[in-house]
Amino acid sequence: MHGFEAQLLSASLRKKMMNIAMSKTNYNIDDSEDLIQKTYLKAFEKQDQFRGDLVDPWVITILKNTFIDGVRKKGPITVSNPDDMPEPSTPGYDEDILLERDRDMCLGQLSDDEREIIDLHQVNSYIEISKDLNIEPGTLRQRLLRAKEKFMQCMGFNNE
Amino acid sequence: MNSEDKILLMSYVDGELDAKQNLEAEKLIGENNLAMSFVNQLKIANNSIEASYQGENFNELNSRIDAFIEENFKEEKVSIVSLISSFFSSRQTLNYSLTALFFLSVGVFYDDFIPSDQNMKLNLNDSLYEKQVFKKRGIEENTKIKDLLSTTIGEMINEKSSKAKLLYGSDSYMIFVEGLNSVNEKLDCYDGTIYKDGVPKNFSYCIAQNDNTFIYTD
Repeated sequence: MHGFEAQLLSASLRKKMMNIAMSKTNYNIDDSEDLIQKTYLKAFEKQDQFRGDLVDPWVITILKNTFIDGVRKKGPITVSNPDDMPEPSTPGYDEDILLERDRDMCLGQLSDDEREIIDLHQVNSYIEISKDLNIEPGTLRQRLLRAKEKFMQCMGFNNE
Repeated sequence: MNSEDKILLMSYVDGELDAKQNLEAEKLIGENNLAMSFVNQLKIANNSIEASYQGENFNELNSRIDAFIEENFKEEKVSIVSLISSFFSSRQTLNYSLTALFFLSVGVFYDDFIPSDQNMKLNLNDSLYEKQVFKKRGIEENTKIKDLLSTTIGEMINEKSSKAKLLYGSDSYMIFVEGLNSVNEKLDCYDGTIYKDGVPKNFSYCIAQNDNTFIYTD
């Protein structure tokens, strides 16, 4: 299996894993780190089970399953919650924080599928995302548009 | 505007269209105020979403993952094999360790490592392998280019081409594979030169049973 390790340790796959891990753990660094490390180790352990040419979709599936296993074992690892954000009277509270809070809340309102596409879109082209998620490029475009429209609506960008 | 128009405009903002489709999108934007407004909204949304994947948290996470990979997969590849040896058969472990040892040696003693009397006839033909990749935001540029070159060389070898032209955004790379050294029956190293803006850079691309690697040898 040529290049398995090179693909597994590539910067682009790592970025995908970081984006997905961070959004699944609500931007908790410790949980994201734990999730990514477990994923790398599992991928190495199971590399003889890998079939096909593209390592990325396989590893992303491992990451998602590892996350689900973790949730089953210890319950949701949600840490950040819009309600936990500082109140307006807290020092340092400003428009940026408000915007961040709204943004995270609006991203949080997307479905898992929509969120995953948004995560991957930060790193990949449409074609690459289609391959990673094993969906048709046309379907991908429709889902991405739906996700962005939902986000824009939530943020108040969409005044159409 | 219908969904198709919106998808066209979203693809335009994301840089996913070819030249003809770009013109089509620009025509729509020029003729339709709603289209113009939608494009602006998409740009604002993209900027906002992009900001959520940056910042201190991501830098911190990246540093931690760096450290984890350095510790487990790069400096001491053999140690990761020990760590997960229960999952490997003894033969696979041996192959993996030997491969790791070789790649470690290549990095340090490259010039002395490959025996000169084991040069093999290059099993590639004169055809040109061409590839075009669009630049995407959010990727570390140097790492991306090296990965891209490595992938392209792997592909051109699979296609049996000794020459390749890689277009990455507005950058153009010419790749020439010029020699093949076989270290053993399971390990081949291809040597060659990459030209960018007329400047040559020598490389070696080695393929083993479980791994491959790309290094500059200048």
